[in-house]
Amino acid sequence: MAFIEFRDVTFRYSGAPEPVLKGVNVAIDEGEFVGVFGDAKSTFCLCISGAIPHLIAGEMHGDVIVGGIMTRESRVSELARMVGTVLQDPENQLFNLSVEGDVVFALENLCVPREEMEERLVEALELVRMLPYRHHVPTELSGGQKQRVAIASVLVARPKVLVLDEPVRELDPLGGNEVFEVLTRMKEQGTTIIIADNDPERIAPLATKMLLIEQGRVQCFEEPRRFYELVHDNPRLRLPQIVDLYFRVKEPLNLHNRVPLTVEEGVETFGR
Amino acid sequence: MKEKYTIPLTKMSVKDWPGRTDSQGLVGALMVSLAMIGLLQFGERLDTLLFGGLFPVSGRVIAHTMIGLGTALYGGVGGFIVSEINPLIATATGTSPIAPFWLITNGSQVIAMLLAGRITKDVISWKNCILYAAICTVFMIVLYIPLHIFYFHMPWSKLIPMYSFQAAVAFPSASVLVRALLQVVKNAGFVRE
Amino acid sequence: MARFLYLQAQEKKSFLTQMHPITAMVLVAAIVIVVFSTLNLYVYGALFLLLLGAAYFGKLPMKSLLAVVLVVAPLVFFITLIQVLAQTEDIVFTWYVLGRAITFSRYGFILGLQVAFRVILLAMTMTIFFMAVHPVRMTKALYDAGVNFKYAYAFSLALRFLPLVLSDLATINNAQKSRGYDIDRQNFIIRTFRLMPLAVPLILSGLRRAEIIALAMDLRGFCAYDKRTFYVDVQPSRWDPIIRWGALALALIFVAVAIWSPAI
Repeated sequence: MAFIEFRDVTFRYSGAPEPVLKGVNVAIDEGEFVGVFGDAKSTFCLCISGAIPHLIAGEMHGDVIVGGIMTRESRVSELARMVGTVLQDPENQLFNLSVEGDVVFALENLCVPREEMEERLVEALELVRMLPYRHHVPTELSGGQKQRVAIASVLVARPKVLVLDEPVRELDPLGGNEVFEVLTRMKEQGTTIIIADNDPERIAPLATKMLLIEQGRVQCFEEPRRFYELVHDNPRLRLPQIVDLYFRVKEPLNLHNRVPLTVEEGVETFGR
Repeated sequence: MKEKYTIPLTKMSVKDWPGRTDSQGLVGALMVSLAMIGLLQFGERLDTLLFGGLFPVSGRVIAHTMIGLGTALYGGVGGFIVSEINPLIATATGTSPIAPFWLITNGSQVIAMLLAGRITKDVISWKNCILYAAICTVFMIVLYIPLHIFYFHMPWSKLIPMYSFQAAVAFPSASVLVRALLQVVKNAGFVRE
Repeated sequence: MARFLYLQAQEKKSFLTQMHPITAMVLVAAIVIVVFSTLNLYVYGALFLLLLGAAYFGKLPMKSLLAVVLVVAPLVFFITLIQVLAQTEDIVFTWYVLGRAITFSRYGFILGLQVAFRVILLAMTMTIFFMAVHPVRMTKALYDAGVNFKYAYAFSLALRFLPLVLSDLATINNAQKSRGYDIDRQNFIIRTFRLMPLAVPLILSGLRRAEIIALAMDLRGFCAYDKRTFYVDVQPSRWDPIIRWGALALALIFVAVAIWSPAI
């Protein structure tokens, strides 16, 4: 049985004429790293965390099941123990006057005993390499550092699933790299990661599956190489540069190798 | 499925007290309060020139407007957050040491908007905004003057002309500004009816 | 905008910064009661020295404390001036302007100074309180005292986002200037009343931000349960009840003495 399952999910925002998700059926196994592209990415992510239907006004049909729990029938706080959600703007996810205050915030809300907090705080900050900054005021941090603290603030609850909604959109390239280093470590630890983004450059090499949603429906849900073989000519999809190059020269050069996802693989592919 | 958190704004109902007490109500009211602090900076010079801040004309207009806006959007509890956080922050940042005086005066403006809403039943209307400004003016005379006498030992014969001047400026300005801002917020889609 | 007072004080641990927040509040209340129960300059002078001493030995930044006193200076001037002109007892000088008499009262001058001193003392008291008490400790103390966490937390949340909102306002001001609306070039009277082009974007961006912040807080379980645990530990010491009751008792005794004794 899949760890995260969307069963015929349709969702319309309050006041919107049309649903943004229409009959979505997706099954994600534990430990997978899934990149979500196209339309309604944020909506998809918010369905996993339970924000839809509990916190966001709208009409939902179908079921989302996470770790055996139906999101519609549980509370957001229960899901928060299992699903950590990181939003776009790190500035709006840090509410306290110190980094350590932000990181323990979820633990305090979830009534974790005080004796456990220190260990979890240090563990989370070490994962994101922000332990030296634990006493800093959030306003003193760079964008990448803030987003890493935001990630730590959800990792501290030891979630099985990490959902990230365009986490590097507001960051500079260096900040983005810092965040993806953290995600690489999380993936190695076996955390299920769902990341919605428009930039596949960093996601494709890490992803086990990639999902494209267009006009509310799932167009493609495959492992990255197969994904690009199927949708590389979709004009709305940005391709990693190496993938774009591959498909441009595939026929002229009569290439039959597998689709390269990184520059190193590209060197190997074109070198032959 | 029942939709969540739809607060009928144009029809003030029993939801005006305590109003919206969820996270969004709390944070929204805080943002209105912080916006008020930011806007108060623009009128600071005028207010300091006019009796050293004892009778803040610009501050009065902005306070009436923003507290009225916060109360209309989020109800009584949200309104009190807007009105009471401002003096505390002003004191905590050392920018206005007589701010504790405003804890009482600001709170009365929340009651003014709640009363106006109960009477008119339509918070965004001109009738409501003018009534709100009128009740604030009455509170200014009835409540502020005794507080001023108690806090600063000001002679009441001098307070009346000064407060009259404040009221003459604040009453029309605040009623227009509150109405305009409520309409803007509604048009921007923050109000669900 | 002044840097947050508590940030300036937090580097140095002292009896003031380690004091239980509720005890600090009770002491503030006691001082406020004393200040409002008398206008005696000697009492005010003693309180002034007491506050200065507490700040000094409590290792609080004295420059910031005195800067706050300077902020009150225009207010102090006007309070005294109004009293000098308004009071009719003990007139020392009369000046005729356009047939109208403007009197200068010695009684008004002394009363003005007394009230001004009162304002200074209250300003100093509140400033010392906010320097000494960390907002997080205050939140915990208020929660322990029975205040709903949402409201106990509001002040801390406001302090966190104030710099952001002010930064947004500066950005909006610059954006409007680039569109030809330069409020900074107007005189301060016009500036006061033509705030809509700044107020509207500021409020709307604030409300949008509020939606996201609230969502992020809820996704971290904010106020999901009636109770919560705390990382910060704020426990009253055995001295706290003594200090609290002692301070209140002294304040009430002073009030009684002030009522009965005309000298005070």
